[in-house]
Amino acid sequence: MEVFEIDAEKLTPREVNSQIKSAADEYDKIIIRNPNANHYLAAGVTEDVEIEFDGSVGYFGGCMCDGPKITINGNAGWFVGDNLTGGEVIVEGTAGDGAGQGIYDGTVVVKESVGSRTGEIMKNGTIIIGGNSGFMTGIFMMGGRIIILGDVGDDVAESIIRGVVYVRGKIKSLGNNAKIEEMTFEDSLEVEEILSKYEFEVDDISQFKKIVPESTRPFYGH
Amino acid sequence: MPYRVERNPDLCKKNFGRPGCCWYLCDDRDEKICGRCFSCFNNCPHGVYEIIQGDPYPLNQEKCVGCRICLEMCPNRAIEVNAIPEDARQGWGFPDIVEIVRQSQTASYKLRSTGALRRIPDFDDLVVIPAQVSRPPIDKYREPCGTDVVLGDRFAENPLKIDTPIMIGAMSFGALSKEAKMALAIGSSLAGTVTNTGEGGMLPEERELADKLIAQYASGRFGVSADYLKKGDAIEIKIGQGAKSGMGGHLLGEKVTAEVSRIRNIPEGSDALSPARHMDIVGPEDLSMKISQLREITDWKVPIMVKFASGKVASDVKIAAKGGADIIVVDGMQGGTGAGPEVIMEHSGIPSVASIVEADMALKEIGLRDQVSLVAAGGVRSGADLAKAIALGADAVYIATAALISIGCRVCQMCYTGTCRKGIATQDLSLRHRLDYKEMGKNVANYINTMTDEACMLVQQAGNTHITKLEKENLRSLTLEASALTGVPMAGVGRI
Repeated sequence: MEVFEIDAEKLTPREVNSQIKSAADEYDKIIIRNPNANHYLAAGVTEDVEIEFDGSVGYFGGCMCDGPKITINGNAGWFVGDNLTGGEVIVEGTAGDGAGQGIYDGTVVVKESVGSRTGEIMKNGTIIIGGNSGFMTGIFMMGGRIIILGDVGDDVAESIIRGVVYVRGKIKSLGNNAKIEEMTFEDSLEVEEILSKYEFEVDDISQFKKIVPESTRPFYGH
Repeated sequence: MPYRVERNPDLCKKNFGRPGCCWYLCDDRDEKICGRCFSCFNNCPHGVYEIIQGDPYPLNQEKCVGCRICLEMCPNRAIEVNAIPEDARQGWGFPDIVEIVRQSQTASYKLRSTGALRRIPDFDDLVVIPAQVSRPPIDKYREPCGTDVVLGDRFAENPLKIDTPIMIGAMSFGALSKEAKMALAIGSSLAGTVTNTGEGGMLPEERELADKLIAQYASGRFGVSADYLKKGDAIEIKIGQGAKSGMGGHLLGEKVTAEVSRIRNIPEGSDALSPARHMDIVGPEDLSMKISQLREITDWKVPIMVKFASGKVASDVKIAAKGGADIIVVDGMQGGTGAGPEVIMEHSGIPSVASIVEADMALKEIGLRDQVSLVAAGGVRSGADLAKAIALGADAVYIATAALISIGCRVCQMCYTGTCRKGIATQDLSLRHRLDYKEMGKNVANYINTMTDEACMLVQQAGNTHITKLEKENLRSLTLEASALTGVPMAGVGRI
């Protein structure tokens, strides 16, 4: 495996991204040392490459990517994996608000807890949160699935039109147009499969609650 | 204003052997019944006509908005549509009464297309003053007038270089048909300017036909990906639009066909609702971060634009400029839309002429006027409007409704129904076939070129050699309102 290393200690985000994009074609893996929680790191990478941040990233880490497998060995700021259209963004620690905002495809995984509004306006794809997720998780969701292993805050799936939110822990309250539905056998298999792929250990899948839209056209064209 | 619609029954029934009648849709190509033409009935977007004993009659005259599509599509020129004066009941005019009745019967607010239609101070309230002895005019027939502009060269490696300061504004695929988008793309290329994807993703055909294309980035993020942004020659962050300031876009599921769903990356038949605000832009710092994020994604190559509905213009423009925008667009309340509530269109926003001046002054106040390009939008119809917009402080303008009129739109205000008789604002294949996108593309270019030429005439008679050289001092106001809104002195003694 061809590995390229970048020391970001004294580099601007523009310089780091430029180096990542130059190396993405030639190398199989890129390791970024000292990311120092800078913003926009690995923004818009569309190559099929492994990217590893050896530390925490700031806002919009791994945003608008299509293809790379990004691992962040630390925490992430707001909007990690924003608008992902393919590939993976895995955060080993915690993340801020809006994790997986607006994704179309691919998977965003945060191993610990996240802030609020996880998966807002997402159209498809998968978001897995190992810990808790804050208020308005899944707001304006238009598709895809969110799996939360911990608790979730107020107004889950506010104004959801399509998609599904699975929650293992406590649900503080549901948002408008959201309802809890019985988990089917197929749902359980789906959740189990996706969680095992990312090495989450869950003893009892039946603990999960499934949140779906009440109506697919809650605002117009009844 | 109410309209009187009259169908002459004698003219209606003359010459039924006419060719081309079915092209205008009897929705039935059976030549045996060709003698019974229902073009007016079939093509009226507002249901003005009814069939009585086999003949169409304009019974529901109160529904007429004056688009004259029935007249245009009548093969026998049998129809007349005339505006009739308001009655003498002041605020309680006939249209007000019709609307109150409609609301009381349907319990719904009025949804329509286009933008503000009532009288608002606009470019017509201003004149360009001619040069004479104190400054000699330039000869339109013998001397050149420069029209090229460069927009967004503040940070972008590749700014927008266009041959005329008239750009085509954002209108999405979904709201518009593929053929309409292709016609606009062809027209923009022929005229050496740029068009805009709107918020519905990028059609491959549009990208291929448009020499320069702005990729819009709106709150719903429909069809957005790294690939989409990188294919744009500029990125426009749409914060708002003049027609429905403070509201997100909405495309009803009926218009989300298989192709629209593929381009927008959303399921077929589903409503496409954009939030009223970007979920990650709720303050000045957020906008600055968004601009930086998009720069990183596009490798600092293309200009980042920010488009506002005109409201708190000075504050918004300063925030965008300080946040790093290359180009700022102010969309006045005359700006258009495919679907929006009438109450917002008519009662929210700032007139375009006022917003241009306020934006220009705001940029000067923070010392960034030379670095940030300013684009004016909302109600631009002619070369005169262009010249006056530039004189007020803009570097370029957007046209949108006007561009649609050049390809057949007659402002019937029913785009949102998806049944556009001209094949423009529809996804219905039989209606789309009515739009010859190649011919209409030429129309767009002709219109833009003529507008540019008109503006040059005004520029040259004012003694300038380049379209961008017009300044506010070249203008005078004909009305107190426009003078007060813009600071342009009144004609004559020059005092407000």
